[in-house]
Amino acid sequence: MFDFLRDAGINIILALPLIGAYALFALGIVVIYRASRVLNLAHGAIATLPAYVAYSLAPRIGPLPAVIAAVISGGAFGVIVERFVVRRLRAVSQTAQTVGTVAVFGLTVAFMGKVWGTSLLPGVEVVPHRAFRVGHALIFSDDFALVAVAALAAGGFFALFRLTNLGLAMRLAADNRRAAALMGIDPERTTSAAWLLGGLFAGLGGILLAGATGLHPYILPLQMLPAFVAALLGGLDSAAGAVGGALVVGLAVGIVPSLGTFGRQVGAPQLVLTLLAFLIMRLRGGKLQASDVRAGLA
Amino acid sequence: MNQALRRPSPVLGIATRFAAITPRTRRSLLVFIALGLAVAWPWILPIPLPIVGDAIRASEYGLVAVSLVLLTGWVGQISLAQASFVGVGAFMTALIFRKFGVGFPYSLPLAVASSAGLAVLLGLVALRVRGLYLAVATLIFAWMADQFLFSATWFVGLGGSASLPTNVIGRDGGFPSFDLHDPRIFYVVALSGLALGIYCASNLRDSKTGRAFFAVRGSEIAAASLGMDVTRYKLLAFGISGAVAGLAGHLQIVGDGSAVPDEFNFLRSLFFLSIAVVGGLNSLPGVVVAGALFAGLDEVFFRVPALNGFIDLVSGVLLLGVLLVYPSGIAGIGATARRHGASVARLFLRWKGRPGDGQGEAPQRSLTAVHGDDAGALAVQTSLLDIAESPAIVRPADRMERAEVLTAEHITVRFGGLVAVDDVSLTVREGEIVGLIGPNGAGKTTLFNAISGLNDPTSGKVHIFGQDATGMSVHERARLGVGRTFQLIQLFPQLNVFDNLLAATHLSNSTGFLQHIVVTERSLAAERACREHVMEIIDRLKLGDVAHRTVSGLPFGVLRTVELARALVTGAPFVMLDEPASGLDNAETEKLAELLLTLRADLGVTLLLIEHDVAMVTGVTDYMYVVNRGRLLAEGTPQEIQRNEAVIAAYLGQPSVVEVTA
Repeated sequence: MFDFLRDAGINIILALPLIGAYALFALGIVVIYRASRVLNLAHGAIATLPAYVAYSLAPRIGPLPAVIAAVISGGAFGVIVERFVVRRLRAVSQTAQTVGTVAVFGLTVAFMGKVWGTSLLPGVEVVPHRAFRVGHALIFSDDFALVAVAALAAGGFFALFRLTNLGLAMRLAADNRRAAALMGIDPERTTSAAWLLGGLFAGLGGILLAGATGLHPYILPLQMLPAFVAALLGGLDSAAGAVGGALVVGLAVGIVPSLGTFGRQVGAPQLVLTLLAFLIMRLRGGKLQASDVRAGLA
Repeated sequence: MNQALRRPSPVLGIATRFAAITPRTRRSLLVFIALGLAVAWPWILPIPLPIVGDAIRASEYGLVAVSLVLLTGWVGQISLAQASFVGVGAFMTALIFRKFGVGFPYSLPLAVASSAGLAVLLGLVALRVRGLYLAVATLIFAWMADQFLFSATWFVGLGGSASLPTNVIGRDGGFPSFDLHDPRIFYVVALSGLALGIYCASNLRDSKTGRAFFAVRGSEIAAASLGMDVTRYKLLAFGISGAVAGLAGHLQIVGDGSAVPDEFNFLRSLFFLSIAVVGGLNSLPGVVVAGALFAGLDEVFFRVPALNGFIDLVSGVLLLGVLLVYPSGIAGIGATARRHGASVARLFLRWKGRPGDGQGEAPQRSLTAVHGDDAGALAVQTSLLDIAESPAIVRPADRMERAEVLTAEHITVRFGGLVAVDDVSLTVREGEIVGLIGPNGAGKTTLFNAISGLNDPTSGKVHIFGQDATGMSVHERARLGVGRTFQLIQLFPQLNVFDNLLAATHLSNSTGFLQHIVVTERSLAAERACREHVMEIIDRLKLGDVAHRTVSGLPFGVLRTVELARALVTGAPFVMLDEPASGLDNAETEKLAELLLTLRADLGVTLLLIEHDVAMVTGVTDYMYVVNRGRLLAEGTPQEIQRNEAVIAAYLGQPSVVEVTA
């Protein structure tokens, strides 16, 4: 029992930076989903590109300015994807919008592979790399930075949504586009704001995660999958749920491997999380769905 | 010399003869020739073997794309896990070989079945979620398959890759025995797989099952109200799609001799989705062409050194370009080309002095949402329905002698603390038109939904045609003989009017899913009978002009009529109408009232209508129920209701309304 607790504890501490990154990613996914009802499958690409931008800029302008510029580039990327792909596909269908983000994903990943190559590169170190010993485990300073930044960002996010006019407008427009437009809110602008925010968070998370795990054009974008699980666990349209979901995902990754022979199997945490997510979906699901003839294409 | 003059050249002779045969035979002939060429070209043309390998790859891509057309295109369930199903098919093939020493083709059924089974499992989990939630569910499934299933050595094999050492059909060296190491032989195998997949899928599309798929995609509530078991059809779609994807995986590992998990990861699922979208998600020929296109691109970008490594970039650009510029994909480009081709052919024929032949080939297909307009079915001229014995007009005195069609006893519906319907009982008898009126928020629709099964009453019982229907699902009630319309119109937006109505023949068509896949005489006969029945209703309701228009874009009044027609096509002797006059102007409302009376007289249907429009209800009904604040306020003949003080006070308000309608 003590062994289990000790292993689990260490694993959880090791998983902390992942929780931070997943929370940042999941927040972005949720904000974007709420604003434009699109599953942003390009999120992983939007997170990885800024990490490469930071990597390229850091030797020239220093790590901190590079990181700031890169995070901004993430936000800009988000806005561009919304403006030129997602918005233009709104008239076609929701499926087309989601597939559009798939196209952006594929294009960006291929682009990064061409420009920076497909070998693992070290990410930019935002904070000096120092190791601390906790029990038998080594913990690095940048891991803590990731958690701290994620917590700060999440706090700022909730403050923005609850306390500012922009936050109110974004919530309104997400709930009912037409009603919001009648109230004098420009839904296109709040949607852009959501994608900007989602892009900034993705960029931040991507840069920090790259600092901890390294940079790879195929591997890093796929770190988005657990974030999607986190977002779904939280209900897909709840920001608080997304953070909670990230916590659950991180804890599962930490705890499950300490659960005997089953837990030590490769992918056991993923299996447990999948079953958990499916269970939640089963419980939350609604009844039969209606159609809307006037909406036309679907 | 003379003879040569008299006899036309052989080429011209064949051409004339070809022009003389019927379009149907011509099509089969063309398919036959195309298939023959597709099989034979590797032996005829001096082609390097890698090209044959590409053709094999193209067949496999085509199969996966077909599986996506089924699930995503037709049923509307976005799948981001298609590569996982392919992978299960591949690794199961290897697993079966490792455990039992059984190879191709004997391992095929089990490999395909396990893919289908896993897909059904995912479908079961995802049953109650839809749209993007479902997309996330499939994404999570793909993630799990990638991280857990395809990382497990018991499933994939030691060393993280699966291999299949023998590629011989039959006993090695014996007869019959085909050495699959010859890619040309295996190409024929893969092509047959693709042909089988397309054949089954296209049969399915034009059948009752295919219509149920489209209906589920369009509106689940309406599909259920036509007697379709939405759950069953979703699971069926997952199962078939999984099976087809599994077949692709099986062929892939047999052809390649080995497989690694990376060939079936999430990125691969996105790649397959790209193929399907570039092809045009609804179109079987489109996605098959797209599969060949991507396989060809693979090869070109691999062969030409300058292009090495640019394939992902190019497929990304291709997908984005297709989406933004041509959302209907290759299928859409093909349709445009055919239109232009047809007009060019007409011009050519006119120039040759043979007008009209361009119209000769009427499409046989029905699901016109997929193929654009379809004039063929309109040509089916049918006689008017024999006018049924018109039942005697209901008099209140003999009301109690008629058989009960619907009895709702003490229905109460609570939503948390709110009592929406409080102990309401009502009875509808055979041949009656019964009205249920009440002000906004009175609980009419809640009561209606409790009767039709959309939400369960907290207490109370519903009997339909004498059977206890309490707790039955919507589609089970439909089977008892209840049709309905909806306040917010629930037609299937992707289908045209004819197909919307054809979908309503679901219950009267008793053929099963397997008959739809292989197309039996019985299923064809049933299909013909259904079409004739739909044409009768179309004539009766004078919908002939719009029969081949897609429903989105039709005027509101027409949509209401189409929905009514759909309820009638089901043949249900009892039809419930939810605010049929809402959104109609006075003239249209009057016409509707007339129509309802005619329908009752001609077809003998029993009607229950919920209405806002008091004038209309008092004009057509034999008996009325008035609800207010969830309670039954009054019941009686329209005359009695008009005189009822409580009703006037609570609902009608101004006596003038009553006078107008009296």
